[in-house]
Parts: sequence; structure tokens; C-alpha cells
Amino acid sequence: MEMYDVVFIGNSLQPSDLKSICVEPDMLLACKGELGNFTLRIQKEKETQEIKTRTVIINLLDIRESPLAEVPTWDELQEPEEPVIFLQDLKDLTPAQINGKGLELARDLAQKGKSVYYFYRSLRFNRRNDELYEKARRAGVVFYQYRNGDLEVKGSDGLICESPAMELELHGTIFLAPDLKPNMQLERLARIFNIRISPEGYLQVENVHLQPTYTGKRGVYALEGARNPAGRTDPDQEEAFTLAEIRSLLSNINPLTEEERVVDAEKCAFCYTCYRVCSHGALEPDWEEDAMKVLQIACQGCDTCLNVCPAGAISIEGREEKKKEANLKVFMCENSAATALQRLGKNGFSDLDIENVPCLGSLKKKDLLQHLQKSEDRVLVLGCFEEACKHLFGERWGDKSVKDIQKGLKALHFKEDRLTLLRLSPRMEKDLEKILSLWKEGNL
Amino acid sequence: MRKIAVVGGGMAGSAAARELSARGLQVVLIEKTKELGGNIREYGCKATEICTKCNLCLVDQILQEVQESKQIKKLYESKVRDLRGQAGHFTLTIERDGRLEDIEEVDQLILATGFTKWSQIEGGLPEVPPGTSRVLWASELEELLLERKDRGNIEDPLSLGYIPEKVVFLQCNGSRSIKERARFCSRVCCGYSFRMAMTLKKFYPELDASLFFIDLQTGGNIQDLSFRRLEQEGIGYMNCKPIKLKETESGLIITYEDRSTGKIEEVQVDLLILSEGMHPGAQNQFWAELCNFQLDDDGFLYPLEEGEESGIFLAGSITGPGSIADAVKSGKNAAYRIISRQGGDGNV
Amino acid sequence: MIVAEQKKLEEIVEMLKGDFKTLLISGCGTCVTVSLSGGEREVEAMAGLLNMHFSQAGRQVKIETNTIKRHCDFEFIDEAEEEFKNADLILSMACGVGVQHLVERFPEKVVVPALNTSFYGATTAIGEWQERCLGCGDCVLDKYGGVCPVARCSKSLLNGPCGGSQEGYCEVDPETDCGWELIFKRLQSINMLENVMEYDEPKNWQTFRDGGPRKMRNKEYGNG
Repeated sequence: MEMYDVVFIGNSLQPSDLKSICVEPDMLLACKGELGNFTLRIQKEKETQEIKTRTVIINLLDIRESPLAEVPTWDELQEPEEPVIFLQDLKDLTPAQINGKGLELARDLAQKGKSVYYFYRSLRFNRRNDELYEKARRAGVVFYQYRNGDLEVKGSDGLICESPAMELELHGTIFLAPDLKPNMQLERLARIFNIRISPEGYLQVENVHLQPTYTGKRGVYALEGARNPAGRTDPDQEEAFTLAEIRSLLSNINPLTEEERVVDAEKCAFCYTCYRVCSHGALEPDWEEDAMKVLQIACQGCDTCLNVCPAGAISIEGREEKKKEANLKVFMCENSAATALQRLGKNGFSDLDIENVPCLGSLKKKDLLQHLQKSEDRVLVLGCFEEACKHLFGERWGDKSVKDIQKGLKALHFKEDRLTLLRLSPRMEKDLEKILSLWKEGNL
Repeated sequence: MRKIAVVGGGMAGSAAARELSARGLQVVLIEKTKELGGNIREYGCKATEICTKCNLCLVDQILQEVQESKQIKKLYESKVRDLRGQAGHFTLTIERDGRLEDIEEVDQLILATGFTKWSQIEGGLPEVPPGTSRVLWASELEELLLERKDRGNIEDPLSLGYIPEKVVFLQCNGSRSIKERARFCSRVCCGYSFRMAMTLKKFYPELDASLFFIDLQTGGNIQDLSFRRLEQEGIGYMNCKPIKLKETESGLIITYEDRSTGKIEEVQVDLLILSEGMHPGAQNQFWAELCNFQLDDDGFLYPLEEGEESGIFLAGSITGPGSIADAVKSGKNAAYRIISRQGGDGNV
Repeated sequence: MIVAEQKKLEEIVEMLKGDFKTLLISGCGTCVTVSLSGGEREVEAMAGLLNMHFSQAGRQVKIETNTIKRHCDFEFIDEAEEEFKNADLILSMACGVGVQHLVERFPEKVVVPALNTSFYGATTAIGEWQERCLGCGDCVLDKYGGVCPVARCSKSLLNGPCGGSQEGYCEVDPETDCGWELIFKRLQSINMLENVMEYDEPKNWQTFRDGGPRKMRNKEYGNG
């Protein structure tokens, strides 16, 4: 079976130098494998077939609707009667992409000599919108900035705008900025690829590490309507970036971690908890082994699955259990607290037993408890802020481990400061210094 | 073995250098100051309970990897003085410590010399009574955020010296103004001002915060920044640029025209934050002359030929305003394009 | 599968007040692992906490742990016979079946439950399960479009809703769907709404728990 470089789900970008094929989202049944070796099962006219590909780009359009039932959007602009009225920001502010389209259409009509009005509450600029705005003004488009609640649309041919300073009534053909809603296929695609979906229904959760077009799963990219409209600041550049990264990866697909995570098939109860929790889609059922399997290229080494597995079935090949060495133990997330500590440079904390972990999510309850057994023992856990996690939701699982133990400690009448979890960012080294000094003395 | 020069050790340059070196290419990184990081070196985290998506978390790991990488030769306090040659073979003359020293022979070049902050161009700020109020450039507030001590100074985490009661963020400084030689929108200021307003409100719970802007931009990666969002978060807003700023004994008075009523209003503030537009980098004119580049109407660079032809790639805010994530993306993009040119194995 | 949850730690500690030298915490690798309450992970966490508790109380107790595949089949228990025999007291982190099965194998041992066993359920989200079947022994799902009135209706009504639901939620609990609303919607979507017009005779509850503790003998495999 031939191996494609990219499979486009939705619309193709038609890259001439890459081997690609385009698949309708509703044809896609399942996806197995990882970056460099995905197998997609699709159904075309009752026939199932498999396609192999190195990467996947999900490129779907949003659902575009008019905010008002009887009034058309500017997607439906044809040969309008003058004056033409562009109206945006009725319910809430319009994303930059849509703004740009509206300005472009307004400018074009004005350049043809039509009488054009443009009503807005806030103009959003991306790369060249501000230029479009200038050109539209010079071409004769009349811009009016209205306030929320001042404007009322009367059917599709008139509007009234009333403010303490002015009363305005205008008749003409009105075109509204379309409202964007997530494509209906996105939820299903999230399930098929095992990637996280945002509360708004897009394939990118709000996390800086996913910019511009990542989904959390290596080799699976999200473009256009698969992403939150607010994040689409530069669609052309984002497309170019995605294709450029794919080209550079093709001959160079390597694991991101040095150690291998493995699942003990004896212990695995196939509960699917690891599969559901993994932010990188790096776990897959292995029906031959009758257990879950870690995909080594997809795995980003956060070790959250090691923590959440209820059977303790996942471990790191060759790694030995760490022995307890001191009474005061600090666990630091390597993407936040550990970086801040490095920024501090030489510091007076060499007497603390500090252990770097790949993610808060990797913290096992049994490991935390191991460091709390003696009455003088205390543990400090330092990690990233919520939604700042490099592994998307890893921090939540660490937070849960800690909270569960804290609950147990409270029930057994132990002092609350035995186990503390604090959040910080890589840049907060001054605060970190203060935290460590206070904690050492037991005054946190 | 191919060697690539990256001019500029800010986020775009560092991200590019990291990608290139990860694929085995040799890199020489030329930075005019003593450290990496460029304009955002002194920026601080704005999270309080939840990440505000300011992108700073992307920064330090990249910078650390570049610092530690043996594959990247770093030339600090160095500037490019001359460039000769063509794609596949460039000769760079680099000035270090006032002497025209190193000659570097490279195959390709990435220019990532960044932008100039408006505060560096505009300079002075109004004088205010110390201890009772302050006027800060946004970058100065960033520096205070870098020093934040949430756990060490709970009453006044930013060490302002007083507890502010009313803060106003003035947007569109150094942007959208012909007078300020910037008819473009810098796009990132609304986002960072909103984040800072949220952070200040958490640090100083009684604080009243407002934004003055011409138009409200999106906050980039965060879920849409809109009027509704501002209202939800209890942040006030005025759709205008103020007319006058007056320093009095009791504090600062801002005079503005309330566009909804048409009346002139005044507001007293004890903390004023001025956003800063992103202006063209000081090197842009130099590169336009040295290489075959065009300066656009705003003074930013854009190439007349593709980097694959000329051997010179542009990355970051040298081409126009953008966020930290944009800089990282464009740096990586330039690196990817270079890597793909020869299939990643180091040979042309 | 069987869904169980951990008892409050205060309750467990009450059960462990007596005088004993060795405590075995025994987990199960099947249902309670999947319902995230009694697998190896929870056993080890429990051991860590209880060890701290005994130290604090000045008691010399040795804690051992094991997690066997299933407590409901003797062979798995027998594999670890020594560990069970060596313990003075056993804290079972298996379901109620497991606790009792262990006692049957080792009648001289005291076995206390760390879990409360609840229902047969399906996973609705990570860490969340909902009851779907009561094990009535006489399945009528064909008549109700695949939604069970015995398990999903709070009153187990067989002939239609009680009329007390609000916005599709049961009057007993505003977070529980009205089972009958689900049945109606489901039958509608498969064009079998006429089913509700059929009167269902009172169920023979003897096949349910009401007839006493039940047993099942599969004639193909079992004796008699």
C-alpha cells in the first residue's frame, strides 16, 4: 500500500511537491498509528478501504449563519441595490478574518462607484486589514462606529441608529457579517483521532503550546474551521507553516523521548483511562496483546498515563524506583518551576531534595506518600498554571493526585502543610526564591 | 556540512536556530547585546490562577536550548557590518567590540533583527507625584511583573509602593496615527493590556480598571477578546483616544470625549499604563540597502524574492508587528524551509 | 461493570482499631480497577496513608499489599494463598463479592471492606459511571426500545411515566433523566411508539432479588 505524505480531511491545499489525497470527513471511520505511520480507514460507497499516511491535516470550513433570520450575510453578496450597508458586530465582535472579507467587499463595491456604508463596533486587523481599511475609505466607503444597543435593524432594507449624540435612519440593502459556528464533524473527528476538543467545539484547546496549528497529537494539524476563529490571525502564514513543518519532518521523524514507556499486558484491565487522558493521542489498543500500547513517536514523555493507570500497568523501561533521601522534598515541573530555578542561577537551595518531573501529571500518589511517611517529612510540589501545561491537561491529573492525598491527610488529622502544591511560570524566579525560603522554614 | 547564519537572538532568531541545530545543521547566531531574548527578555508572567496565554512560557525553554547547544555558535555584542555573495555562499563581516573582526562563511541567512518599542522612540513620560501615582510604559509594567512576589509581598505583589485604586490603560500609542509615523495597528497591545488589567485586578482586588482604545483587537490565541468579555471581567472601556493628560497634586486627570454622549469628561487615575506600538527595527533600513529587500510604507521589510532563491530568509517582527507566538512560528518556518531544501541531510 | 467507590478514610480507620500486627491490603484487577477505586494504584495509596496513620498512633503494624486479577474466582486467590494466610487482618479493596469470597476461602480470617459496592454501570466520562441495569433476571429491553424502565425509572414503572418529571428530569433527582422520557424519545426515533400502548402485566419479581439470593447454573458447563 502506498504511503501518502499528507491526507487532508475536508479541503485540500494541493501542495504540488507532497503526495497527498483528500478525504471527506464523513467518509473517515477510524485512525490508527502515529506520525509517520497513520492508517486511516475510510468508507466510500459502502466499500471500506485503508489509506496510509505520514501526516494528517484537518481543514474544514466553519458553519456560517446570519445572526438575523431574514437578513443575508455578505457571503451572499451578489448585485446589491444601493446604498449597500455592511453591518458587523451585532451580537459580539467579529473575528479579524471576517472583518477583512467585509472590508475587501466594501472596497471593491466602492471602487466600482457604488454607495457603500460600513457599520461596526470595532474593526479587527490582521496582517493587512489596516491597509484595506485605508483603501476602502479612500474609495468612498462611509464608516460609522456604533455602540451596542444603539442600532436596530428593520427588516433587510433599513436600520435605525440612536445615540444621545445623534439619530440616524438609513435604507438600503443590508449585508451582515456571518456568525461562525464549529463544523458539525469536529466532535466526531476529535473522537476518531483521540484529540481534545475545546468547550467551544474546536479542535484546539486554548493553550499557547498548540499555536499555530497543532492539536496535541504529533502529525495531526488543524486549519481554518477546525480552529477557534479568534486564533486565526494569519491563515496564509499558518497554512504555509504547517506545510513547511511537514516537509521538514518527512525525512526526519524521531521520538521526542529517550526512554520507552511500556504497558504490562498482565495488569492492563483495558479500562481506557490512559487513552482518554493522554493529551497526545499516544495510546492505542493492541488487540493481539490484549492490552493498551504506547506509541513511541506520538509519546511526549509527560508520564501522566503512568500516574492515572488504576492498575499501575504502565512503566518506563529500565527505570529504577527512586529512593527517599531527605525530609524536605520538592517536585518541580521541568517546564515551569525548574526553568525558573535555573533562571535564579546559583541559589541557596542545594540542601533541598529537588526532583524535576516532566509534568505535574506524572506525580503518582504512592511516590508522594513515600516522601511523607516520617513525621518530619514535608513535600512541596511546584508546577505550571492551569491551561499553561505543555501537555495540555497533565497538570489537572497532578492536581487531583495531590488533592486526594491532602484529603486523606486531613481525615487522618495530619497538619495541612505536610503537602503543598503551588503554581508558577518559568519567569517567576523571584517568587520562587521567596516560596522556597518560606517553605524551608515551615512558614509558607 | 551546511552552515546557516541567524542574525538576531530574539524569539524568532532563537526558534530558528534551535530547529536548525536540531537537524544537525551548523548555526552561527549573531546578537547585538550580551544576552538572548531580544525585546521580551524583561517581560513577566501575567497568570494569577489561570494562564492568560501571553506566550512567555514558550520562550525560556527555547532560549535555554540555544544557550546550551554546542551546535550553535553564539556571537554576542556583535553586529553584521557587511554581506557579500549569493545563495549557497555568503560572506559576513561582523563587528565585535568596535573592531571589524569575524568573517563568517555561510550558505544561507536568516534575518531576525526584530522591532523597536515605541517607548524607545518616544522617550519621556509625564512627571507625577511619587508614591501616589505612576505612569508606566507597558514594557515597564512587564519588568515589574518579572519581579512579582505573589507569595512574598501579598499586599503589593508588584512592589508599586502604594495600592492603586484606579488604573487606565491607554491603547494605540505609536500606532494608528499618522503623526506618530505608524498608520498600522500593532495588533498585540489590546491583548496584552487586557491580560495586564486582569492581573492587576487579581493583585489589587479593589482596583478599578479601564481601557481606552480606538478599536479592540483580538487577543490572539485566547478565546475572543470582545466588549462582552470586558464587561464580564468587570473592565471598563472607552472607545476613544484621550484629549489631554494633566498632572495635579492629587494625581493624574485624563480628559476625553465620551463618544456616546458627545460630552467632554474627566477621570482621575493613580496608575496609567501606556501601550507601545511595535515599530520597525533600527536595522531595517540597513538590510533594505544591503540585501535586495523592500521597505513597505510602514518601514517593515519584505522580500522581493523567495528565500529559496536569494538565500536570505526573514523571520519575526522584522516584517511587521506580531506576537511572541508569531515570532516563534516564523522563525521555525524559516528553519523548516532551509532544512527542506536538501532533504535534511546537510547536503545541497 | 460493577461500580464501587472507596469508603471515607475515617470509616476505614474505625474498622482498623483492633489489635493486629500484620495488615494485608488486597486489591482487585478487574471491575474496581476499571471503576478506579480498588486497583493497584489505590491499594498503594491506601498503604501509604495507613502507614502514616499507624506511625502517628504509635502502633507497630506491618502493611503488606497485593492486587490479584479477580477476587471472584478462587484460583486467583489461591495463587496468593500465603500472603492471605500471613495476614492478621485483611482490608479488601475488591467489591462486596470479593470480600465475601475471601472469607469463604479463609474462614478464620477477618476481612473488612474498603469499598462501597453500588451498581452495574457504564462509563459516561472519565471517573463517572451511571446505573443502567438492576439485574432483574427477566430482561424486557426489547419492549422499551433499549431503555430499561426497571433501572432508569426511579420507580421502576412499566406502563408509562408517573407524570412528576420536570424538563425531562426525574422529580427524585434533578440530575437524573426521566427514564420514561428517554423511552418515549427512543421508541419515537425507531418508529415503535405503539409499543407503549401495550399493557405490560406486573413483572415476575421472583427472578429479581425479591426471590432471595440468586444462583445461576449453566447446564452446558455445570452439573445438574
